[in-house]
Amino acid sequence: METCRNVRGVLLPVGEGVFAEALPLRPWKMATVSLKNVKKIYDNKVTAVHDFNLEIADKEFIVLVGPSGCGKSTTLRMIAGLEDISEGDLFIGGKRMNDVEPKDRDIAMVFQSYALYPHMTVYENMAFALKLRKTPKDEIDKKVREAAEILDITQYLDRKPKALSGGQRQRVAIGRAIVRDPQVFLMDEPLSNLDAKLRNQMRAEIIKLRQRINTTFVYVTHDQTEAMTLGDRIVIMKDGFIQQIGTPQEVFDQPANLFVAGFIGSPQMNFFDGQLSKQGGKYQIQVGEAVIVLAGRAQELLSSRGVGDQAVTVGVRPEHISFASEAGGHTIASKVDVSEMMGSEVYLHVNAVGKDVVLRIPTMDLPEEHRAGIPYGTEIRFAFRPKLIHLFDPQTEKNLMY
Amino acid sequence: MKLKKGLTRTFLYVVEAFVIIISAFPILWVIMSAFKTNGEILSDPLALPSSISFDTFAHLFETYNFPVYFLNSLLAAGVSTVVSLLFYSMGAYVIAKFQFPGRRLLYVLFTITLLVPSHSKTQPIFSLIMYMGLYDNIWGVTFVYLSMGMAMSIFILKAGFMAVPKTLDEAAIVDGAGFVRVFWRINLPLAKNALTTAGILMFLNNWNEYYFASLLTVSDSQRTLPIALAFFTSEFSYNYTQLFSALAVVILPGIILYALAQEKVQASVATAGIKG
Repeated sequence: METCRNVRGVLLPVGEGVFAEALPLRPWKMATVSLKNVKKIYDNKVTAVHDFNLEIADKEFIVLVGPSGCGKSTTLRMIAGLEDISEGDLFIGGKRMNDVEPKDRDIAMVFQSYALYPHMTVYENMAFALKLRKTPKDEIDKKVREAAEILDITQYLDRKPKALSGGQRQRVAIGRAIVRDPQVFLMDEPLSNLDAKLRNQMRAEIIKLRQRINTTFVYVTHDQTEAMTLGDRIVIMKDGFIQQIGTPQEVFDQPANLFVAGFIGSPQMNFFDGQLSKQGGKYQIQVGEAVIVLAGRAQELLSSRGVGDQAVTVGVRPEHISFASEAGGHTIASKVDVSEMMGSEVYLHVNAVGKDVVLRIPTMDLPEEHRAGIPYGTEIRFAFRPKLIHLFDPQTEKNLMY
Repeated sequence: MKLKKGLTRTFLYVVEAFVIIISAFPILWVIMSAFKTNGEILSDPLALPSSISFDTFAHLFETYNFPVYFLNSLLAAGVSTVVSLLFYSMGAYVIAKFQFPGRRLLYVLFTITLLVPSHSKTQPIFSLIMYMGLYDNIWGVTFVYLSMGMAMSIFILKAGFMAVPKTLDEAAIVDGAGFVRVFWRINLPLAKNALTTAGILMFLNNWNEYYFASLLTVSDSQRTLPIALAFFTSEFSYNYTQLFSALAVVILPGIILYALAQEKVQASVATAGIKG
């Protein structure tokens, strides 16, 4: 029977009316990645990653996110095999990979600096890995051209990386990884060298790419927007510790602690010092003068945990604060510092209870005379939406309702 | 202000002209004189030749063993340069890219040989060559030349390899390249400026080397150009045209080689200065 290979090198029958896309692409490969108690201790006794546990499902898109120095890149490099694993076990596709050479791990990696070989043309860059694997020439040619097609870089195949723009280089770097058809696709801050506009564009392209080459992704970034838009699940890290693992919705709605709450979401969540107390069987918080009775779900959660009266850090996202027209027990008085017009919404920086607070108000909710912005020093009152208040323990920084 | 700028510029030009004259003029003078007759050279040393004729060069190659000397020089300088480039680049690569105990010490030991005068090594080298049975053999000379440019070459090559970003090595490793391939396919091609520089400096040094060539050879058939030249100087003390054309044959390959690679050498010396 006449056969051909599709992008992934899967042997397909020709002329049988079978579409390449309709076939399960790699039924024999389960690209799960599992990290068990993984630790990285450098020679100088600095621990970069503490006890990292994560199960990545087949074809899942995992984003490791955190500020610089949080150990996210180190973790990725341990999966790639570029760093030794000091303690713990790494499994890819069920096989222990701790002592397996990078080239035998069936992974491809895209680097922040693109890491294109400057002395090779785009074509040679993309073909390099396949050549090393002694892939037949015509097959290399086919794969490279197909990947170039996907990434829209066919016209640059004969150019050297030097003659390409940043965005094009990034495509080549991704193309170099695609042709390998790896079990796991690793990306180390691939967009951080691009300017803002290009970054948004490439982010969309990565989402598209992911739908085309359905494989397991591990993506490292310090940008929470990238993390939120790309990840099936997000792993938030700080100082070598995992802070929280969850879907974008989960980490946004239910941050495990103060750090996650402040890191995810833009503009940042506002934090107030408050006092939690139980009055007449109902939990309420006092922030400044205002007393706010918590919503039903919070009542249940807090009482089921037996939380008593205590000082709390109250977290409220800028979009969960609204104007209050008249003075009342649950509203807070403030003075406008800066008003940033973003188009569809206005970021209001105000001063309330001795803190800088950011409010995110849809432009259409502003009074007619203030559509262009609210002048400095204007006195306004605002209120929290009780359902969307987060409470943290000031000592442990943990979410009291998580 | 304008005047000051003008003065600075004039001063720069004067210095430049001075440097060009003292470095380039002797070479030009030798080549020019090779085309002049004995009488012309003696009566008016600075004048241009009255006619261009390559007869003296032909004469040189026909009458004397010049092709043999030339080949000997090419062999000794060329082979030693190529082989030592290979070895030194391997050494420099490991020192530049890998962390291991004693790495600094090793590097210092390599480069400190720069401070050992080569003449002080005469006795051991002579004994070694005798022992190996390579005395009065051009291969013996080649062998000695292998070690000549070590300190400088390691220095230049190390800087060259350090300028190759480490992520490229890592990308190649993830792509499936082993140690040898990362070196051969990625680092060597990317360090070509440093390789060219080290190669040219070593080649020129070996091409002009006199001391060990004269120490280790006696027979006419094993002589290199500088040795042959020394014999000519006494033999041709009355025939300056012959002497100058022989000199021209010796210096021209070096000049041509350097002219061809000048850009790379400059670039590499600049980076060596920053990162060495």
